[in-house]
Amino acid sequence: VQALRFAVNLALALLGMSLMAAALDALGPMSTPLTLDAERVLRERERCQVLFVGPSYVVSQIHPAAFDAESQRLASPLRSCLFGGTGMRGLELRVHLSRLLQEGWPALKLVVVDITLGQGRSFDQGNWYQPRLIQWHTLESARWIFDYYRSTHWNGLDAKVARAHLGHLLANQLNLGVGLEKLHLLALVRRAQRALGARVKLPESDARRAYRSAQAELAGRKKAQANAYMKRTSQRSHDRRVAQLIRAKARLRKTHKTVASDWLFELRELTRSHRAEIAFIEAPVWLARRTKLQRKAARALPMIDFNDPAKYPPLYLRKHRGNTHHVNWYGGEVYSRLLASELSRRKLVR
Amino acid sequence: MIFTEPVFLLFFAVCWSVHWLLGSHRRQKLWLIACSYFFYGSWDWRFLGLIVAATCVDYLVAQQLERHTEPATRKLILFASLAFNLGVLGFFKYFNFFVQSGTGLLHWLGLHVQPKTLPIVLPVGISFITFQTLSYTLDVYRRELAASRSFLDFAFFVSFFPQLVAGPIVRARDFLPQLAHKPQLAGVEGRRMLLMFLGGFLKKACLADNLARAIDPIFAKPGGVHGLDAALAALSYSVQIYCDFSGYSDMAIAVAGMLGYRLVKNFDFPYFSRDVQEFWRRWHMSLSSWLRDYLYISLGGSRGSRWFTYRNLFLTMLLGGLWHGANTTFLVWGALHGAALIAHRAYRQALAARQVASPFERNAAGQLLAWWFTLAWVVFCFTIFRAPTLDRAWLLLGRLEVWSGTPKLSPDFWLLLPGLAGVHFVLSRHGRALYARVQALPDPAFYLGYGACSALVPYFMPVNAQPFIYFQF
Repeated sequence: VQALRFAVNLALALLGMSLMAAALDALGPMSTPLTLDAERVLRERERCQVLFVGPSYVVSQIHPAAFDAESQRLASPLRSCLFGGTGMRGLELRVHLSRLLQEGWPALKLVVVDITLGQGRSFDQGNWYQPRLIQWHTLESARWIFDYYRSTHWNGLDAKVARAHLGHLLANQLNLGVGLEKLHLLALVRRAQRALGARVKLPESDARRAYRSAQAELAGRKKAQANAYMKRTSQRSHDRRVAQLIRAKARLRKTHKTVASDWLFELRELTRSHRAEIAFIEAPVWLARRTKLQRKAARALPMIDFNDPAKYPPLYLRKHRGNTHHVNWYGGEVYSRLLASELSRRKLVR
Repeated sequence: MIFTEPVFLLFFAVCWSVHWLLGSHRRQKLWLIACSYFFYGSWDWRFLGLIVAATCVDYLVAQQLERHTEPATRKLILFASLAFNLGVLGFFKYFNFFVQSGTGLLHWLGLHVQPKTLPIVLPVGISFITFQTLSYTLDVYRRELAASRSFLDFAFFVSFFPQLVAGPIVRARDFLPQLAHKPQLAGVEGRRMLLMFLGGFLKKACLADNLARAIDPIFAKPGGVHGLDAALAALSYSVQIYCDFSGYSDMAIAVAGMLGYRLVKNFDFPYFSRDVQEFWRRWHMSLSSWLRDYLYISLGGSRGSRWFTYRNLFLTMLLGGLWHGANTTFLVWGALHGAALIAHRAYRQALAARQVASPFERNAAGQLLAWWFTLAWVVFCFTIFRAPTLDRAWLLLGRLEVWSGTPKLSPDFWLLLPGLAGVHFVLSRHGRALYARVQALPDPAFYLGYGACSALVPYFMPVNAQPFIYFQF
């Protein structure tokens, strides 16, 4: 009788916990640059036909206006929008894309995913329990995480990492640390803050402020880069890097290792379930991959490799390059137009 | 493994279930000792040897103390125990501090020497373990307690994991008698313990850790902060350390209670004290009573002249400060409290000599003023306690007079601190009644509500949990 009573009480407590967790979950996740970017792009979803998703190679290099204008010129007018964040890749990209698509995109025809950074898990110990990492540890992604480690022959997975993944999953399910932000967003608190007139420095507004400043910086950088070209010291190394890249690409065609590509097929299934096609791109960076996708993926999936100075020389002109792996504002314009023409040429948008 | 980590909850679920499933008392003890060693070893298994050594040494010492009657021999045996326990504590905790302080002194005297410090890792909770074992030996030496005949019981007492790393400091005379009888599950006040654990969790994770995130940057870089920020940071640290340590103590008492053992109370609303002496009767009660019984009284207590008593008070508090860690800030904190206790004692004696009542006790305004003075003093001392160095402490305190510019801390603090004080006040007056009402709820209401409140705690926890402050001591 005592054991039965204990079991019932435990079940009641777990039920109460689950109900409360579900209610809190409805209040939304903690703000991170990615959730804030998702808020922004969701405002465009009624009209967006081509959605670009990926890391900074998408966010800072693709100019939707240039893309739209070029597609108009090519007689296949499209409206584009983009979503992404620094270093977003693999599992994180999948989770956020899945969440975005669930919101309903009536006009969406094509999702273009930048896979330059590969499938990677982006789970360095120094970043453990950062809100961004907690966010992609969902129940849905648990299977993807397992598949990822299986596809890499359990490389990098030890007891400590496995425990950390479990901890992140638990933190996600219990909405760890979200409440403080929600509390600060309460009208009463905001009113008090305004009335007392102090400068507000809160964990929640840190994320928002960082996002705003990143957006402003991006806009500023685009403007600044219109008049600031690559540094002279970088120009010499740029020429050397481009030559190296061409050689590496040639080598890659002859000898290469293949990497598992199932995740790309899964991404295609995901977008198709929302009635949109998918295309993958590799950004025009300086480094070449050492691996190629499996043949079945290379054949079956639409893939555009811009990481090829021989094929896309304008993207590697000095005047189009910034001082990092990214192209500058002019390069971004060229890249966006090239994207539009490649998508049109391959008839990826019907 | 700390109490607020999910892995601890998993560990405790296994520990608790097996403990109550085991039939014999002896097996239960063996199981809990194994769990305790696992718990401590999860920090650093190498230091398990220290616990085993302390257990063996003090067990043998107590046996010998009981066997011998000659005072000289007994003193010698006691000295061996003190040398071992304080030697271990001194080596791990104070070696580098004394080397550096000695070098500084010689440097000041004009002698230049190269200090030779060691890369020593401080074992978690070593001060607590040492004080606990010392209390046992001293009690046996004073013949206030019979030496434990059972090695198993003594090993259980030393290693019992709920209080192992940060107290409350358990006395053998309170704990060992509990081991004579097998604990009964029916005797466990389950609901009270669950509420106490949740309350402690909330204090630590939702209050202390969130306060720490806001005020740590101010203590790290006090130069340039607004006076209001400095004041709020100082006040908030006092709230933080209380929530952190009393939260830990509540969880420790609850965890022990769920296993059928009773630990002593460690806090009794200390911030409502109206003088420093009362504060020390209500703050970290297990340490202050330990210091009183084993240090102050051993030094002679108040059995001598007035100045002799003052000296004992001061030395006790100074060593109490040093117990917290090898840093001049702790020494100064202890010295300040020692000075305050002396001043308070002198004031009381002067009033007694004149046969007049204290003006602070005559009416509510006087009591309020006494409370305010005491709180201000405690907050001031904790500011020194918290600062990494004395220079930083003075720098922060110096900023209290700078009121130009705009404060950076969120105005939420201005709402939060009075709110917390209000809740604290209500709990101090009606806490028992409220607890009793909640405990009396029918099962479905209690457990559904408990589960729902448990889900609220992580919702308000900061993402990166802080270790308990007292773990470093």
